Amino acid sequence: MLAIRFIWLVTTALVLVTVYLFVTSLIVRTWQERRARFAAARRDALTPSILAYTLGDSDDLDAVAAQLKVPEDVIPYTDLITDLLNQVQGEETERLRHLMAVPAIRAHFHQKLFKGDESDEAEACMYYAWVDNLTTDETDRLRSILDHGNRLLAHAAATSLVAHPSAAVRVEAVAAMARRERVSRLALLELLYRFHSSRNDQMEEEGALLMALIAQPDLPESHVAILIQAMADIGYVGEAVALYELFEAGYRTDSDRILEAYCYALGRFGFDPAGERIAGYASHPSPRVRQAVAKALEALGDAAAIDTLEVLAADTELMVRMAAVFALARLGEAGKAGLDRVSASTADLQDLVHHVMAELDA
Amino acid sequence: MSRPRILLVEDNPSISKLVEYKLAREDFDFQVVDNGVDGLSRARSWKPDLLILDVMMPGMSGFDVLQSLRDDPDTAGMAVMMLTSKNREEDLKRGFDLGVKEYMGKPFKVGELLMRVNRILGR
Repeated sequence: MLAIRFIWLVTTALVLVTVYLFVTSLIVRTWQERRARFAAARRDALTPSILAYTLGDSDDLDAVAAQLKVPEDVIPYTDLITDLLNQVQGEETERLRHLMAVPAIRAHFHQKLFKGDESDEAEACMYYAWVDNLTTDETDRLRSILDHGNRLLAHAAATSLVAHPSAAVRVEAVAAMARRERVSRLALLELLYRFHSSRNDQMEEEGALLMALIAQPDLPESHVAILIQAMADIGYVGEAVALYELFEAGYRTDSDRILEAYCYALGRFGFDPAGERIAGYASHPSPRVRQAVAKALEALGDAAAIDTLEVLAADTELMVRMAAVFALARLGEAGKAGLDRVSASTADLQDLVHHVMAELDA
Repeated sequence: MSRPRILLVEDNPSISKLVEYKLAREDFDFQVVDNGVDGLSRARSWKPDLLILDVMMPGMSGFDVLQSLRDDPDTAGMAVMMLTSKNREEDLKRGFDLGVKEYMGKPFKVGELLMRVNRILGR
């Protein structure tokens, strides 16, 4: 009797739990669907005025802002604008940024930034990446997040701050990420390109700040290498002397990656005085460094480097041989003479030279 | 004279609305579909004067749509413009090998898109 009663109780409990779960999931799903429908409807309602402003048919920003009726409008509004910001460029981008910064939206994310909740802060950081005129308290708050234990949140804050008008603030954001071990190469590179953006009037200041960052002793070697390469790619040619002096002083040249980056950057800058020093690394144990030497000597275009390139053309590693043969092929008549000597030395090198010349002709 | 027909095949509704808004003001007969399969079917039935095609879409890619159009004698000569974030050199080559008139990368300038559309349509 007791067993039957027990089974009945268990069965009843299971049925009740199942019904409870079913009803709850139904309510949640219905609520989510209604919310999604509402968001889609609001997005549709907001779209014409957003597009009219974006495409310059209207200059009435207040009229667009007046369309924001309820707090739930914030997400569809910012989603649409963010989506467009990621897909268009030029004049429209500026106008979309104006739309992003209308007072109601700004106030919404300002509150989130200071709320002390990580997910709200992350949302706010992503929002502020699209806002140009950060206030001092917003800037300071974002700066305080740069050292946050949550790496993704800190990265989001850095992404916002690399668009700041002050180069010093921008480099602070880059530095905070560059100091962290667990930041990907791609994430750091993306920050560096955003860091420069289109502020050509600040090139000198930016270059000096980045150079000072590179010289700091506490950065992981891979990040220093990325910083040096990005400096060359962005074109802070005014820092070539400072970079060469670091190189001459042997600063972190024990790192293959950093050495490779030095060679790359000084070659890219066309900094001729570095030629002899770079050629001195032609017998470095790392093939990546030897390859970088060949490429740098090619970039410097110095005929005095032909002998070194001929040695590198006979390297044990194919990637070094290829780089050296390409370099010789691009170094004019003197290079061609070197190439003839390389080609005459072994059948393998003759094949390699033919292959490279065919590729260059193509 | 009838208005030129433009079909946009694009799975991002924000882009569709933006392009539609811009082109609708320029007196085009404009239609949008949001995937490659429907895009191919609409292109065959509606025969637009210009097809603007995204590449990365669910189900059927823009290049697959383009290849199918080129394989069909009825649509082989259709004017096509790519509008896509796949804009590496090999993507451009693939597009031009399949006879696209223009290849625009994203992010793009809306005014430039209109200029290219007008150029293709001889307006």
